[in-house]
Amino acid sequence: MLLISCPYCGVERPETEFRYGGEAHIARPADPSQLNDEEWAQFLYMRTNTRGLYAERWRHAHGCGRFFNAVRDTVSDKFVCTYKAGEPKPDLDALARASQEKDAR
Amino acid sequence: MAEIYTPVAGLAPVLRQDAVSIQKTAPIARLSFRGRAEAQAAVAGALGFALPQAPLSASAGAGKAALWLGPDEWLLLAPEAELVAFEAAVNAAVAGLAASVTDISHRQDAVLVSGPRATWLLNAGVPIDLALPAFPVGMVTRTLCHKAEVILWRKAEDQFVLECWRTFQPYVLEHLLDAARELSAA
Amino acid sequence: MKAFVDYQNDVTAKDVQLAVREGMMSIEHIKRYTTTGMATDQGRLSNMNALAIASGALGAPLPQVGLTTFRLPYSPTTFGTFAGSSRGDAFDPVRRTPSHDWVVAKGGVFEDVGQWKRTWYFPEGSEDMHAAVARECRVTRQAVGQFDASTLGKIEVVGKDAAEFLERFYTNPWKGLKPGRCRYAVLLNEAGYIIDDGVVGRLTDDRFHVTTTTGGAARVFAMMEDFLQTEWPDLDVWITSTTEQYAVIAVQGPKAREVIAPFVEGIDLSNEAFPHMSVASGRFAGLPCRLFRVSFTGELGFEVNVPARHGAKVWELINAEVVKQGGCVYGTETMHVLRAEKGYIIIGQETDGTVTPDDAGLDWAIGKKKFDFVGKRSLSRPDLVANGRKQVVGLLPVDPKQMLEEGAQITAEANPAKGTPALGHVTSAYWSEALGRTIALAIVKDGRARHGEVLNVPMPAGAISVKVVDPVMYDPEGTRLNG
Repeated sequence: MLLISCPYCGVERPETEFRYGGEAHIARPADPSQLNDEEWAQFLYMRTNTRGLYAERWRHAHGCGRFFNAVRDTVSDKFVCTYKAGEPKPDLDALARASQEKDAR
Repeated sequence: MAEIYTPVAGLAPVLRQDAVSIQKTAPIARLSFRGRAEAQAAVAGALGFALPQAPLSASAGAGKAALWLGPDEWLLLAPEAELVAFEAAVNAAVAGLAASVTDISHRQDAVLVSGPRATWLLNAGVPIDLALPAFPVGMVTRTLCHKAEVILWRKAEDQFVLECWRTFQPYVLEHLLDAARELSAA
Repeated sequence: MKAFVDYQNDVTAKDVQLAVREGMMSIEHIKRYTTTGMATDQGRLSNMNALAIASGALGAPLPQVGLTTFRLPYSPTTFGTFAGSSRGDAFDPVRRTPSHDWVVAKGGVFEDVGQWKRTWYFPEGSEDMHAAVARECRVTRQAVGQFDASTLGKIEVVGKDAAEFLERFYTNPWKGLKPGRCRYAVLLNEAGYIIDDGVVGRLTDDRFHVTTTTGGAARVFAMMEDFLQTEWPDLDVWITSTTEQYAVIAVQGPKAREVIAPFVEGIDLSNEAFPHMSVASGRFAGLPCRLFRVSFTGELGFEVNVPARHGAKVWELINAEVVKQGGCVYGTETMHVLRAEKGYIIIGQETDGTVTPDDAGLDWAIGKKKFDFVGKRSLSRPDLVANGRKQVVGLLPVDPKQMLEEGAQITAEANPAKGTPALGHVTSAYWSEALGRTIALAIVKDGRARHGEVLNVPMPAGAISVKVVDPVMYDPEGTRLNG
């Protein structure tokens, strides 16, 4: 069972307590009426969908109920880190390099 | 201190084995409290103690309890007979402050799971580490028991309160009873 | 003669050799091209033979060709081991309402609605479903009917910004709704399509009682939390699920007030004080109660919300009064029929994830002066304002006894040529006791412009002619609601 660390509960819990929430750090436009159709479609449907480290939203649905963010490797399914909503997006490139160095050792 | 959860008087246990028993508990008053810091502090006036702020912790006193379910969500408990007064007291304590107080006394039912094999039995459906170091006495959490969402509160080394929404309780008990058959066969 | 390598997927030695000739060089590709080793035995019978044949075909030594990845389980394991206690009735939670045991004793028939058991109909004597439903419909409209509505989702929305939140979330305006009043709410996804609906009652300035569909309860709650936590965390409002806090008993029909009046304290039930779409707190048979005057049947109607542990008792108290008034209990089938006669949509019947408010005739539920709400921007997408969209209509088969099939396609021609695109499909079809004929609802291209037109529903036994009508087929003036 994949374990995920909830930054609010401060513990690791099995994946079944969580729900995936899509790509992280995408703010809903403050005034959607200002977007043209192309831009609105971009917001609705287009996601980076990175092969590798990806910043994602997760919800501890059957735990504290909070949304938080995670950096997960979409190839290995490994969680690199989790962080609270509102905290800044980590530098994914730096994390990827650090991870490669760690694997090389 | 008066225990909030008491077995239903005159009702046979759901399960009684040497190593583990399950008993349904009598109705109690339950409030869902959510709110910001100022309201969280003010609730102490109605409880007689401060809301527990440490994640997955509980505080209790004078027949009441407050269980941390999330950073802005607590389950407040009191004896059933005090529901009206308790709800009024909590609402008065947070009047004008950013908060939500909702009566959910009938939304949930609880059982007491007790005995040296209580942890073993719960782990038949609850996929988290319930050993004492990971889940000490006093810890409380929302989690899953098979497909049902539950609240688990460890009251003693060998005793847990298991709460869930009323219509899910038959399912939860059915699974625990099935696992208990393995215990009695052993 | 065929030399089988994989006995489950019928892969032969020739197949493996063909894979290599087609250019598969990796054993993983050979496996997937032929499916050898991919059945339930996971290659335990086939792998070594397939590997050896591939090795020969490739001209490479066995160890160099290699093995495919072994998957769990490594030892044969019974299905029972995986299932454990999740079998039979314990596979999924079975959720029962407060009236359940009473219904079982009465011989009611249940249907599954998600995880819930809901009463489908109440056969009396030798009635089949058709007869039972016809009677339930007739008696409810003539006298009064009693229905268990406990399964619908309920969410308590509380805080000084409660109205503001609902304003941003649902299509409707909320700020002007006075305490004690209710409004029918429509929920869209961001793509502009209807995904849920329900009645919302305002209890006080900062407390709303929101209802959702039975199947949508968890989804709507999660969607609300998503927006509150991640988009609008500064709003002072919190939600709490109260679906299981209250038992809900609907009392619908001309005698509805007579049925509940003996039990109600603290609420003036007169038409002037408690008009259609009202909510009030009071007592019912001495118990705390939230009383709604709402109707999904088009009749004078109330919904009695009492704390759930009292639900069974209150159900029986109400039933005694219902029987006195010459009424009956009814189930979900009758509920479906009565609402269809009034043209009320059901999420998942008339909507399928592609239906907008305007398509459903619910443009009136949109707050036109609102700055924004979930889905609003999408409503002005070219596709969603284009002509020729499918719209909700009523259908009256030309033969008043002819039942339509839900899902049946609709065409202009009786015998459309192959490849003719359908104009739409039948979304709900019933026998209407009130109208003495069959009725249906449907979504049809340019539906509202076609009222009066005769279209066709091609079926294997022959095309069924249908007249397109306004979906409100019974009491279009709504006089029965306001008694």
